[in-house]
Amino acid sequence: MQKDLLKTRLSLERTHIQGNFETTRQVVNSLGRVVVVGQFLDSPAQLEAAVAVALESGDTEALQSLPGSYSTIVEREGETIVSSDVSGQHPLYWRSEQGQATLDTQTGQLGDELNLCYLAAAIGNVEVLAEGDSAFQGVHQINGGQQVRFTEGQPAVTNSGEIIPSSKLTLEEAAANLREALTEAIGLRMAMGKVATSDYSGGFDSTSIAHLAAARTEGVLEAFIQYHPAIPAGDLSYARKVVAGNPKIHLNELRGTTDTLPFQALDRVEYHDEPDPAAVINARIKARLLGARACGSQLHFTGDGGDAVLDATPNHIVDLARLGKRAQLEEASLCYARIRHEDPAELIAFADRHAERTLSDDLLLLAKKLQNPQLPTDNQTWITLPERALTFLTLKMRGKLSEKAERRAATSAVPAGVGMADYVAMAGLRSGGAVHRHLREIAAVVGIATHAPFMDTRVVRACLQLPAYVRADPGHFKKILRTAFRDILPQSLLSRTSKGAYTGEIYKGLRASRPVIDELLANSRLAEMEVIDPEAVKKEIERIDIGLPAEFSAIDKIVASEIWLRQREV
Amino acid sequence: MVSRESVPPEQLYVPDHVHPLIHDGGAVILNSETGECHKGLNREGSALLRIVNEEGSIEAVIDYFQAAYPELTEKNVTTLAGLWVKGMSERGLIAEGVASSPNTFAIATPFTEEELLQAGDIAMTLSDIENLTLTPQERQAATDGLADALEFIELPFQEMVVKIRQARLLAEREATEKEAKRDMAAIHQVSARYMGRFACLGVAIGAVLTSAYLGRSVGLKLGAKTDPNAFHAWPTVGTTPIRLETDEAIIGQYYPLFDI
Repeated sequence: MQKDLLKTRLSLERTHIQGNFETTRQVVNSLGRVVVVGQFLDSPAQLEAAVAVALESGDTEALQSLPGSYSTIVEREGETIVSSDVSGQHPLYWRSEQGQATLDTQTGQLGDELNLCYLAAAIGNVEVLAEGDSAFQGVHQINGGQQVRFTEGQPAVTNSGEIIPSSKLTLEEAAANLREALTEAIGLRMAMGKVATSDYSGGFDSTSIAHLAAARTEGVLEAFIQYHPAIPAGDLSYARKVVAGNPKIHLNELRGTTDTLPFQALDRVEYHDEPDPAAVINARIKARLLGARACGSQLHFTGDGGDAVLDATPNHIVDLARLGKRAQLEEASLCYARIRHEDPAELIAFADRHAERTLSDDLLLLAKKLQNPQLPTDNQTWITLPERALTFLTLKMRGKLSEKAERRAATSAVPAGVGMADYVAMAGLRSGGAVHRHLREIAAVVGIATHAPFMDTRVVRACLQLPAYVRADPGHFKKILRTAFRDILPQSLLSRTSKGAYTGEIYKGLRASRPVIDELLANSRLAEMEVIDPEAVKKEIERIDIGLPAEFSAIDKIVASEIWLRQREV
Repeated sequence: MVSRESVPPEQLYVPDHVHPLIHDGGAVILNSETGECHKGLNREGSALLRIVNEEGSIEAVIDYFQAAYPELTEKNVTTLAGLWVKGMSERGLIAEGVASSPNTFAIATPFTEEELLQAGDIAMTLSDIENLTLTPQERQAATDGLADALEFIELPFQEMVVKIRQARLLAEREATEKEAKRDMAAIHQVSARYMGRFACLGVAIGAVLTSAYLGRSVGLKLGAKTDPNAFHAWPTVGTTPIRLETDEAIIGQYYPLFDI
């Protein structure tokens, strides 16, 4: 057996965050070695059986299809096969130098020189240009669901990670698959014997998880909702209504204060090996985790990933147009128009206009838009082209990203059968994976393992194998979940057609934290590195101050990056 | 040098058709003469609007600028004040003259938990609408209501207001909550396949007209919210708003500014 083709350096023990509860399993036999990183839920015997197949044949499908959310490294004769979990919440990074590849779970262990394009792509809300890269030059991330095979230190992507939907699958069949996978995902976690708690927002995702977990607990499940009394988000009344009929759930109502608003406690953001996309809400997150910890929680459920896998984005109407499903297109457009107060004829025209559009077309348009952010473009096609966020970047940085977009346009390809809304769902899942990864690290500090069952491979596949245009149900949420659990989950939850609105908290939080934000921009590290134009960012902050609609996700990432860059100076 | 034409008038006031919502980042304003919505007045503009409302003189505006920008010369301060007055006057948000008394401005104070608990809210689901069987009279009233709403909404704002108020004179009594909900559902049912934009104001007018044509009265409010700043229209029974559940909540979000 060839040794050291890939120098695997799992560095969990050297993570900056202590108390990591994640599973790291290693199986070694005469054919090689398999390492599993993440939340592996199946038995050792099942793992060994799947490992035997993977090492014998190089086929890792069985290994990747066991319950849980985990990444795998298979070292066998002549090759090393590295597969990321489907959401990318258990990331693996690699670097190749002089014919030798090194692998790590922490990007900061593999590089030191900052990758400014990566930071800029995140700030500009064009994450598509950050895929496969990391915050450090020369260090690459294996995308959620992606598989890379290393031979003599040379990587080759053998699976892009996209889940190809089946047009033959019916809603009922997919719902049955979801029911089985999600029931198993929660059941196996509850069987770990840990004290479990759950988020409980009153919306579909976390509330469903809490009810399914409560059914498997002997006592009462402690569940948590956060609310701000002066800035109603609309979730609390639903949560109270839904929980009322279930004596196995105790709802803890965590009352927010100015201190738990977004942009507070920025001096207490943990250091991660990349900027934490949820850094600005760290005070809110910690208040919730500490609440759970006070109830003895060891394992805390969240609904993360639910939006991406259970619903479909409105651009599924483009898929309907491409497939010639005119009746469905008209019905969906009429419904979206009613609930979004738009013109249905314009929605149909939008769908027809983009029916033949490709990801490469979008990337080429993005390249142009990076050169001229004022260029008028349609939104919500394969990628959502940002509006003002691009103007926060310097001309120099936009130029570099524009070149990158052109290069990617030449090589990007979406597997046949993957529609626009399917692609967007997968991208949303990966964004959620990045957020949940950081949440897990913060929770570990508090002494809790957070689990997001909607990010488990089996659960994701059960949902995303159903085409997005079938999952979609304009005017209602999460048809596949409602179908799967209509006899189990409360009707008061399943009939909800509204969502909580937390934007008010963001505005209030930013106003309350203006001096800190102003200081970050006055001495901006990103500006020093010619990544952002601080004057453009200040204008956006002024817009927020006045209450105008704003590009919050870009501001979040700028603040997160500024904090992270300062932390690295210490 | 300030030209003679641009010298601002001595006395100023905020006309009755100006309905601001003052919030902690500035103000939003509904102009009920034109129907225009102004979303982006900053704190300075908001403070000046209140100064004009309460003190009614250009001197007070100049004093404000002088205090805010002490580094500016008197001439520049006067110019700045003149430009602000000119801009606001052109938009019809302030006017030359004397008001009998200052207007009362809506303030976006946070809703208390008590207020939220006590406030009514009629939220209808799409299923409620789809499953409702209309009587022939209701269907006819809603069909007429839709046609007229589409016509009224194209009129200049004041003319539209007059038409709606005239139609409401047909009502013999206040609608009950149940009736108002049916009328709202009826307008949604008959407009479900309308191939044009039929947004909150159109729907609210349609609901009011449907009720009126059935001999009952439903209210119509225009209001605003902040964070993010937005305007909205909704029908009411008494003070209770009626809405689709998929729409934003009114209670806890929107402040009524103008009744039609």
